[in-house]
Amino acid sequence: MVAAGQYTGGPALEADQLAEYVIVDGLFDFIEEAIDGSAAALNITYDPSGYPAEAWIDYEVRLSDEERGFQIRTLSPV
Amino acid sequence: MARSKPFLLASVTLISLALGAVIGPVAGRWGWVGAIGFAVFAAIGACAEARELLTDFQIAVFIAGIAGYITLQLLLEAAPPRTATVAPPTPGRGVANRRKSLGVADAAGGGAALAAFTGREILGPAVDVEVQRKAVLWPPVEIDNAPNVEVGMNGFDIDGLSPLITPNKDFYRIDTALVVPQVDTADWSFSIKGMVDEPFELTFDELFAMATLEEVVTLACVSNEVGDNLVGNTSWQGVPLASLLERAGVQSGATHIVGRSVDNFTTGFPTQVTLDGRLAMVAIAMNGEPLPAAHGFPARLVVPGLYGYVSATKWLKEIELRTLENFDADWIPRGWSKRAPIKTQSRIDTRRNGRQIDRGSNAIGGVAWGGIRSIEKVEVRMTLKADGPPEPEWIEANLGEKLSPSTWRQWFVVWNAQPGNYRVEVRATDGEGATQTDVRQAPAHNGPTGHHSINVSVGDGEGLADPNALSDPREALKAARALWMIRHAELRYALQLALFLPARRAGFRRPRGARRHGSGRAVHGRASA
Repeated sequence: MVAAGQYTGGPALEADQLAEYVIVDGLFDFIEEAIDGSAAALNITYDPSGYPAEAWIDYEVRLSDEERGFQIRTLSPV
Repeated sequence: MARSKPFLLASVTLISLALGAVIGPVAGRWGWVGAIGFAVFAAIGACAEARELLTDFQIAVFIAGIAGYITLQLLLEAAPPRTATVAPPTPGRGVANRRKSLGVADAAGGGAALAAFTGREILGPAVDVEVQRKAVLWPPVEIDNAPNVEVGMNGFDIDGLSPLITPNKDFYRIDTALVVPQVDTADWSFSIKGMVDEPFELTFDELFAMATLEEVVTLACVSNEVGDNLVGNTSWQGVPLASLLERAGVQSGATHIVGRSVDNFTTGFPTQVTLDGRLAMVAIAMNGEPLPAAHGFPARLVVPGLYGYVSATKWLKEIELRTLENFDADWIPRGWSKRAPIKTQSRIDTRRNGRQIDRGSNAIGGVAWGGIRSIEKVEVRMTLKADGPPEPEWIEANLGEKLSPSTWRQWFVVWNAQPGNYRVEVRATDGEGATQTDVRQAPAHNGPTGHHSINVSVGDGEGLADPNALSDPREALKAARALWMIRHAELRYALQLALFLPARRAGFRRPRGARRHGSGRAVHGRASA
């Protein structure tokens, strides 16, 4: 990963912040853990290349602010 | 080189029974035939272990031959007369003879069982190798060339592809032992002798207390036909052969290292190969556990880059330094080459010859190995049979991790297959720039050559499933992973992602109580938001 920013369009993150992010394998693991953890709702869209382009996961419908999701906007080789 | 021991044992049993069925009746008429039959059989058995004279095995064969002949004579004496007679049979005589025959047969069987039992009692109880393996105390690892290798490590996650690390249970086994030797570590010792300044002997505890190295090495059998599976890749742990030889002090002129097993099988390779930096060892563990009995417990030789028949002595008991001219190890008199470097080979794993596949994206993958030269390139080509020559260009495959110079590498290509009948062919290039020859050569007498190829028929069905069309999220995830793996496994992609909620910081939180699933690949990520 060489660049990441917040969804709302923040500045590019510093190198030490980049280390906190996941690669595509990590996104698969993230989805798998949600499935294994019996998430209440999953909405996953995969790119034709196979990577998860968009995910929305609600772990508990009675709780708010615990939902997680992501959207991959661009993908480029390092 | 025998590959099916059950078949061999069954064949020996059936042939023995068939010869007995022939010799028995003939011996009823001419008694000397029985004597000669058992003598010849015993001589053949004794010659099977002709490396030394008057071994325990040969004495046992000799005694068995005498016992067999005596039993035959008793059975013949007890059997009803075969001569035709015009006189009326004596009432009850035939029944009495048959009973006597059965009695002799029962006595012979009982005697054999008693002899086996007595023999075991005299020689001591059977060795429980599993108990001994579990009692092994691990020696320190001085050189760890395999720190990140895990048992069952898959590498590329593609259906049908050989795992990067071969599990012990799946590792090929080729040896001359009809019955796996059960070595008692209390009695076992390992020695170095011959043309050395200071020959020495080590007990099991002494050897297992020495500093070891760990290295991933691909071993291959010389009789592995092109495309066959007598090859495996494993993490080996053992005492460096170089340090053992240094302690013994190899004399100048000692050009031949001979390994000898507890059942006196021998291998031999040039001393020179231990001087070129390859990590040869007296191995005591594979994939992090003591050698399984079938793979040589308690110790075996592992020499990277050499075919097994010249190097990989299992159940090792000694190493002897000789000259190449004055000693031939077991397979050499049969015409096999004395110098036997592993040849560069590649194999297609993911598809079988003659199978039909769907059109569209298909992963074609396998493994390639090149002794100690490693593998730097693998190429594949798919020739539509109707086209004929010229053949299409070679396509360079994605290569997997190189765990050491002596290991195989996984490879794959994604083939957008269109309907038709194809020949899929693979070739590898090693680290010295040498590309596999396409000239087919049988394994005898220094290893096979040639490209592995398969015939596939591409049908009209679709290839990999579209994950978005699958309703089961687990199936969808599996399909997506397969797609991603074959399209992007060797590439590192950066991604720009954005989180919907919460927007405090970009990152992922692992769900409470969720288990982590690893595939053997490193996953970089933060555990909590």
